[in-house]
Amino acid sequence: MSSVVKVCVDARPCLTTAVFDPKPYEVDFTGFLSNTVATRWMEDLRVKMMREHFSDFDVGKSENLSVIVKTEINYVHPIRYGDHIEGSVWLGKVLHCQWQVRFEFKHKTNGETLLTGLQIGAFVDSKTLIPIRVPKMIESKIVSWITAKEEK
Amino acid sequence: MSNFESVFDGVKTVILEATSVTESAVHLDASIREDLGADSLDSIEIVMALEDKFGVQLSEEAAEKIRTVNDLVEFVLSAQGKKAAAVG
Repeated sequence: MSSVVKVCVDARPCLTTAVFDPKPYEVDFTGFLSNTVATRWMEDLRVKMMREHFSDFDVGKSENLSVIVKTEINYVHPIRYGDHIEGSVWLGKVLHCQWQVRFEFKHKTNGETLLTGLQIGAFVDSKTLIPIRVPKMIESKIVSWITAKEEK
Repeated sequence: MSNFESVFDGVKTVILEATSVTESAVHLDASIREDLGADSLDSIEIVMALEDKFGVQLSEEAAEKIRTVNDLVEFVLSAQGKKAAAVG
């Protein structure tokens, strides 16, 4: 088995969702959600995905040290105080030394896409900080997911 | 197809998977950083993918010297040669 695992972007493995309601202190003077909130929502979602789908993966272990190397956010449509938002995160790709997770935030009432995002991360050696191969446990998880999907 | 061409084909496939460039951009003289837009993480990704694809080990020092697509092909060919010599 090759250690590279590619995942179809529209298949959305490890899909995890959460509802977000903008708080009064997250809205700026124009009445729109501050753009800094998007990164926090993405963090919340990614942590939730890890808890739900990789609960047996110890992120605190030095050999499992992972860092985010890139974040992209597309502010598609402004979000206002009072909007109910459904956020989704899923695994976009797992390559040899990097992983990518994708995000989408939709208006819960009309389904309009308001924000989309991407985070790219890498597993690194805790001493040298040089990227290392994705841990086998993560790779096996994705391979079993793809196998199960193909068998359906 | 010569071994050089076959390795070049494999290198091209790996580069296309790791970056967002089009096939026509991947030629032997193309700089991995400047022409193909690969960052340091992409470069490590490419090296790891080549190790798996060709069953070779590229040393860290060797990987640091890689600048162009041709360097990648040459390093794979050299690693294959060393592997064959070790087996023989």
